[in-house]
Amino acid sequence: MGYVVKLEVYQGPFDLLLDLIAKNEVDIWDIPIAVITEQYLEYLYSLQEKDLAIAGEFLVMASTLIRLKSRLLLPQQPAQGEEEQEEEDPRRELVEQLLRYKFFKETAQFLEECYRAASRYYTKGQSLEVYNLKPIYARPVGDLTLDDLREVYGHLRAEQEKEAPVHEIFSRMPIQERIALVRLRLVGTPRLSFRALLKDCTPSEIVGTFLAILELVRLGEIRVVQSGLFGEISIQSYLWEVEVNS
Amino acid sequence: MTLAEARVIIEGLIFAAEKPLSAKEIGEIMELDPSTVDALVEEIRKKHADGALTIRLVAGGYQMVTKPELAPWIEQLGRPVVHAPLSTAATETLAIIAYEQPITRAEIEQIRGVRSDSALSNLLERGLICEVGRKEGPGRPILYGVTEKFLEHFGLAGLDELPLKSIGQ
Repeated sequence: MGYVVKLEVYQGPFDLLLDLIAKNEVDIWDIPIAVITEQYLEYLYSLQEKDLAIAGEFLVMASTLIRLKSRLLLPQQPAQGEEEQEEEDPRRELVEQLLRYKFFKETAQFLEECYRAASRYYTKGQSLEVYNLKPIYARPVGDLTLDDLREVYGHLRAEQEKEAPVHEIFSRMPIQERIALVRLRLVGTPRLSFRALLKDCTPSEIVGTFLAILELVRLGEIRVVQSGLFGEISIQSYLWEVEVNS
Repeated sequence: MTLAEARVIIEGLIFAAEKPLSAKEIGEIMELDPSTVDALVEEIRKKHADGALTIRLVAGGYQMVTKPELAPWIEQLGRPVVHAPLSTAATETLAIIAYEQPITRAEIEQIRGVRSDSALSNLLERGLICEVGRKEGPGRPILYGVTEKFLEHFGLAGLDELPLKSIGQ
């Protein structure tokens, strides 16, 4: 087991920065980056003098501060071509992170007070291992509302009513048959659009064709290319390429 | 059963239970409305006004405990500390999980700006947090949430006792 040595108890670079901001009594929305960076680095040097390893996170923040400082020193480039837009304060992102951290740091202090108060109450001291460890996490569906769920359920029901049970797909539309069909369509054609292949198909035929395409990709007979997000998917035959090239 | 009898039974149940007992659980055992249970517990608490014990609401349930002013004496019994205090790193991590759950380790570390794996494993070991699932996405990282034991550790009745998170403070 290693030793954990803490000098001034800073939980991390955010903690150190908040402390420096408080000590300098400056507005968090208008941090004098040059001054704070200097003091921040001084702290790191003081650690170094004591031969203590500096956690990587502190170094990352040091480089962030130096970058901010140099950005603030550089003359602002005039916006080119585009309309006059509000110049984003380069410190903004850091300030938001600091405020977010500050809230949780304060909440942690609140919890510590709660703990001190709660630890003055004694129970009769039975086995505490039986204690309930079940989560009190109460948002299993994230930010979905009841209406969202109802809508999704409605769509599912509607689709279910349209479509026959899944297991019938295989009996009515064997994959082998679909594979043969896709192969046939690809004869003498460099490429085929996925949409064209599915034209006038029933839902179960679509599923069968889709599985057939996956199988053909696996067998190395075709490759599937999509031009972009939601773009047309084209199916290209390797066999055809071989024929043309030879 | 009369109200007086109901009071005695409720007191017995809360005393004997190994964990905080909710009004709903008591109500199910005794076939009483939870709000009636709440009212009766309040009466029991008043009855205890000049005694050593009181009933506190913690983790959504009632628990029989000694009054806080007895703490200096009870400490001298040398009973092992049931809940040893947490490190600042662990408490900070816990505060983040309580508000942001379900949350991954990477998300916690982004807020704290430092690695938090040892704080997390400490909290898991103590049963103050648990895994609640996995996030969709690369690597399917584990999602963490706080447990009822978390509420008990800090003497909170529920998560709504935490300070309100103001926006843009």
